[in-house]
Amino acid sequence: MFSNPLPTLNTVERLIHCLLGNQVEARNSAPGPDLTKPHVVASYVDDSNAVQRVLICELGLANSMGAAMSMIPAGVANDATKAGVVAENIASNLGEVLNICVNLFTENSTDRLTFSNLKVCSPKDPAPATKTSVKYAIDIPRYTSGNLLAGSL
Amino acid sequence: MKVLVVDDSKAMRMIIVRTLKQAGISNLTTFEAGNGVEALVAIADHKPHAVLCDWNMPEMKGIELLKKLRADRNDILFGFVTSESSPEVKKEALDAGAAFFIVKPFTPNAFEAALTPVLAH
Repeated sequence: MFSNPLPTLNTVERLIHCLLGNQVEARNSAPGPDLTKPHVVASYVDDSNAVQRVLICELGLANSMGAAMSMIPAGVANDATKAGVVAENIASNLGEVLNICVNLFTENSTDRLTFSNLKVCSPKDPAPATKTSVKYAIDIPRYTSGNLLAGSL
Repeated sequence: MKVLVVDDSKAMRMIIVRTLKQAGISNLTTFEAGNGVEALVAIADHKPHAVLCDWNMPEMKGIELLKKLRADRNDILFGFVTSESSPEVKKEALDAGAAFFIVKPFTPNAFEAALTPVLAH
């Protein structure tokens, strides 16, 4: 059982500042991701391939984070969000962001987690049954903002 | 200083190069490779002073690249820049001859500290 606590706001901010720049803001957010709209679920597994942690990200924010990483225009990200997908040229960036996000969960821990996969989910897909969760709002200048949830299973 | 950045993510290579510049590395020239196989070619062609390498990559992983270099008696300054953070992985890297191990996300200070041994020469 992976026991490390869910990331603090400071940990989240430090990571996104490194990846996306210091202008990006993170804050705790009560509502969390709107699961009645398409969203992205990233899974993190332990050495026995059991999912221990998830990140749930609104699709608009997912496209924004992937696009902002290499300065892909916001319009590309917004068009993909309207179409309910992660843009093809944004997907690899988003995968890299979510791969690095494994370190949100492993800070100060000797246990190992690995980014397993990301899935674009529709409102019909069952949400991961998280035991505990922390919710954040992320603002990326010039891109669509959105909500993020870190959860333990 | 010539630095080879090896990562299968083009965006991450861009971020690493940007961070190296923010670290104030003087006379910095960077080269890029998308995996270990491409890195071997780039090392032969450009003879960099240092290699900053991801751990997980297609074709040839970072640890395989490092072991190949050391087997060929190439003692180039080699460090990992990776999302891997477990003690086991770090130990394997250092045992194989890595000079440093930087976990993503990173800061300019991390690069400055890691490359100081080369800058001192």
